[in-house]
Amino acid sequence: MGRLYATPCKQDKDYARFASYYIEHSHEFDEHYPFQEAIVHLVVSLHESRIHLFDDENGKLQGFIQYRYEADQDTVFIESSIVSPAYRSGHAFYKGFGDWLRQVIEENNDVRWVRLHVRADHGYLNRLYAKFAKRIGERESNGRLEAVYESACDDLRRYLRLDTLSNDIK
Amino acid sequence: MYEAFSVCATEMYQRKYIDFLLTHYEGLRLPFPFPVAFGFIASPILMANECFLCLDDDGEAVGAFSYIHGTGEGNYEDRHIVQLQVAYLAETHRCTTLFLQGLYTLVEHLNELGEEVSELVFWTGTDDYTTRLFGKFAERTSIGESVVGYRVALDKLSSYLARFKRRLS
Repeated sequence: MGRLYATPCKQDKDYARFASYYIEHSHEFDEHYPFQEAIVHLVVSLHESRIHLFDDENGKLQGFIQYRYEADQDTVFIESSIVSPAYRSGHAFYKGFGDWLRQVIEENNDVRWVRLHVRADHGYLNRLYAKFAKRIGERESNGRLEAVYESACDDLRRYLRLDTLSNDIK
Repeated sequence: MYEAFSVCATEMYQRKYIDFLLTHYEGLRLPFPFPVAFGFIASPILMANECFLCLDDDGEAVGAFSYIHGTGEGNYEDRHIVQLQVAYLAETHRCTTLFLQGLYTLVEHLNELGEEVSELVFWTGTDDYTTRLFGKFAERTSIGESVVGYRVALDKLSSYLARFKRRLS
């Protein structure tokens, strides 16, 4: 399994390849995730959200975290995130998530909370999120029941060991 | 080499349409921020009318265009006016015949629709080549810094294309 490299999504060509990847991989959320829903999600969310991309060694997109700051600016909400199956490992998760959090703190030093949601019936992801976040509730989204998790930014920083010197894991 | 335009009648072809345009996004040179441009490209899919692809004989997309019924100004209620959202031919396939074939496919499709369409509106870039090309059959309605607006009556476009009948059959 190769390395992933965090890449900013600033230029149109980055947005375009993100949109392509999202449409192609949105079935990862739900195998019956409709094509139209993927399109609507992009049309509706792109205006307000930021995107953190993860490229492989060949510059090909293999994952992303789409997020936005809530109105009060002290909460960052992960709208969606996908990583190509071949790049899913505990190691890659911590590194990628850490890269993203570092970027968020740089963008917005006032962030205090990180919130994310996941399909309530996704056993693996619920167990993973419970390791660093607290389940604070549930919500319904497009007919799917989702669990909502929240973590204090400081706690997450510690968990991902962002403050240590050698946090660049190879 | 044989290419043909056809309407995207299934989801598979709609996916091909959007993927083709996203792959060639920079070449589209749409003068809007990406979220706006994406909305423009995607609305025919959401409004169920209508996307077209040009496929080569390997089934690969080499061109695409789409339209919606109604204009923003008319609150999309003026359905007799069709607004072209995007049109693109891959550089390797840019030739007069394909350009005309695309127009012809659109006109034939609109003429066969159950509802009446009388006019086509669209926008292009401001370079000389483009304004000369589209000025051959369409009337300029607005000239901006980065876009030129056009309109053409459907029957006028049909007559224009009839001149090239032999080339298009």
